[in-house]
Amino acid sequence: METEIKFPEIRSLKMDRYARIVSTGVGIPQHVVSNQYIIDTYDILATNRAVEYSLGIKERRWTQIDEKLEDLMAEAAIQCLERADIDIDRVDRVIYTKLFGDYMIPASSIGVLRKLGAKKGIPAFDICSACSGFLHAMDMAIRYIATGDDYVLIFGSSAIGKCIRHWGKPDPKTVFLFGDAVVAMLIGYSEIKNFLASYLFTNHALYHNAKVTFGTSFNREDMEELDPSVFFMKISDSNLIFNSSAEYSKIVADKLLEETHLAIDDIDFFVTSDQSTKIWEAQLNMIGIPKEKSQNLFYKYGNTVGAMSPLNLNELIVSGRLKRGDLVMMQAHGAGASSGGMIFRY
Amino acid sequence: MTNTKYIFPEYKRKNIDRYCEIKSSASYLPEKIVNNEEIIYRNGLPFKSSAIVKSIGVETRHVAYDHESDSDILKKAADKCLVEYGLKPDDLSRLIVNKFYGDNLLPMTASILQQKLQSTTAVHAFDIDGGISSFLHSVDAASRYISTGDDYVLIVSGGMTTKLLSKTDPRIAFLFGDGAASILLGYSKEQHILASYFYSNYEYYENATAITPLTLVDLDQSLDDKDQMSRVFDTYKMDNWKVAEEFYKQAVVAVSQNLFLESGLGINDIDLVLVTENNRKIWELTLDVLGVAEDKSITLLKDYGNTMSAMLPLLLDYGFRTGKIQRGMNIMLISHGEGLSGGGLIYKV
Repeated sequence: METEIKFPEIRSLKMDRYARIVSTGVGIPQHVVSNQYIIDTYDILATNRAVEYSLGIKERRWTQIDEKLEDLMAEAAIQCLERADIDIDRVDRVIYTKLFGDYMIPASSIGVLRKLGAKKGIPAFDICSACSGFLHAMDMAIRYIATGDDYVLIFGSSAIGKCIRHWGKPDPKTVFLFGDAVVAMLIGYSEIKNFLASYLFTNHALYHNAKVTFGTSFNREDMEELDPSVFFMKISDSNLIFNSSAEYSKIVADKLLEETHLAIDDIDFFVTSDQSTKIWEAQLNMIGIPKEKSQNLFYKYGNTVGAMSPLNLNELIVSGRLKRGDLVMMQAHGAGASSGGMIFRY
Repeated sequence: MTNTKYIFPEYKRKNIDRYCEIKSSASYLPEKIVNNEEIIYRNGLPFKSSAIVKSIGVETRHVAYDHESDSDILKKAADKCLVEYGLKPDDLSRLIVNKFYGDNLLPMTASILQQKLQSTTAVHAFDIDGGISSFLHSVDAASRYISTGDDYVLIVSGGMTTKLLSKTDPRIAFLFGDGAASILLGYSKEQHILASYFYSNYEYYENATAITPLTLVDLDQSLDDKDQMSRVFDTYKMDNWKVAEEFYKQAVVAVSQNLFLESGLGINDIDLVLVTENNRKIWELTLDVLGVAEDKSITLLKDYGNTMSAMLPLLLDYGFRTGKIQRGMNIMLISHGEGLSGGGLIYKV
């Protein structure tokens, strides 16, 4: 479909009650899956060296068969809340942006509250917005804070490893790319303005390019022919993902800079989704950001969908490179096709 | 897991000074109507239609054609809603979909809906999930988007619930129906949403569940692919709702008290109460706890079945269309949903 799609104008954030990132936390499966393990287990015609060279990935984490998403969510939440020294019962809302939940219904954001043993019946829901989802959730969180909430806990994740283990026969083209991880972020009230601009869009012209095809688009007759591949991500054109990620990173960056009257050199750190090392590099080149001002973890975690961008942010925080007051441009790009970006002071 | 120390969230003052109102609403019900007898006959079930009507309250439901997807049904409601107000999809600030499965697990169904609406702008479109209460959460979210700068937010809810559901489990096969409804929220000088309140309770987390690929792995470790695939025809499991009956009553009390606290209104100020009709008994119980007569509410369950997230907007649209909702009225919306996840909202028309 070749409709000419316009990108929406950026809208100013009308807020008189401000938010800040209080803390982050991660939950990652224990099991480190090497390229060699995948090659041996699934009898794939490849070598570790070739995979590492062509894709830029050394390893990734996969959930075990008996490992649940809510376990990883709880691990991420506990780390995040401990770093903030905030009890779960002080949280006003939980938002989870998913690839899959342990269930489609109910919301996994309620499942994690069970795991954490929260006493308060905290309002919680899930959103579906793929690899860019964490930015959608952050944007929502700052608006909830602006309109009265004190703490919003958000999650982004991927958990698909146990499906590959269970069903076997993965697509050799994509099996090396995906890894599992959950990132939690606590966003809280702030007396000063930290979030300067936010921009999100969804380009439906690319809807069909990356899909997990289980859903109502199936006909019952066809469903007799189902095989487990319907539960895995199918990518029609990976060049399109590469090119659109680079192009969209520029569009988002320009909108955010226009809104904040900042120049790209004012940005201390650029954080984004790194579906591959090449996609990460392409975004940096497109925007004009040196590698020292960014972070890439694809080589060790792979594509972790909603967790990718915040995983990089978490790494910058934990390593001490990102300091309070630093100016961050954070982006994420993914299926939909949907992209998001924000400029904030950490 | 029980939570003996369960507490409802405390009331918190909101900071909303840029208001919103419902600009238009629309519904779409697929033309094909299926009655209980047909389900009984086709699946050889040992039930009587009268018993089904009595126990769950559904007599007929609309069912979409097999070749259709969620986005086809959602599109018809969304289109009507936009046309009624005279807004192009390109002029939306945001588009939110509430669905059961969606066209595909990924990407968001809001994206393909936007395509079917022939939008030429990449308006931010995404799905809010989590079951029946996702609609009310979306209304609350939309009010916050508008408070912080948005002009128009379109919410489109429902779709094809029956396609991936059991045709033989009596708790499931008779309860659900397909349908979609949409509301357009836009900026208003005056306040219309006078209060909103939400809660969750994980004590009943697994009372009603729908599968994902992860659930399939959890359930079927030792089965081969072929056996596992039968589950995709049977995605939703539900225990007896009655185990949560006492909690539902407490929730209605807590929700209404918090809504009154925020709005300064009392039950006598409420002109109409719209409740998700998860089943007939839950609707009755809600009105009973509130002390509101049935003629102060609307019920569509008998004809439409449980249409999940479409239930409340279908009731709203029906109210607007039939004149049951009039300017100046205070409407209380109550949502009960899986999770459990629920809440309420007071809307002044």
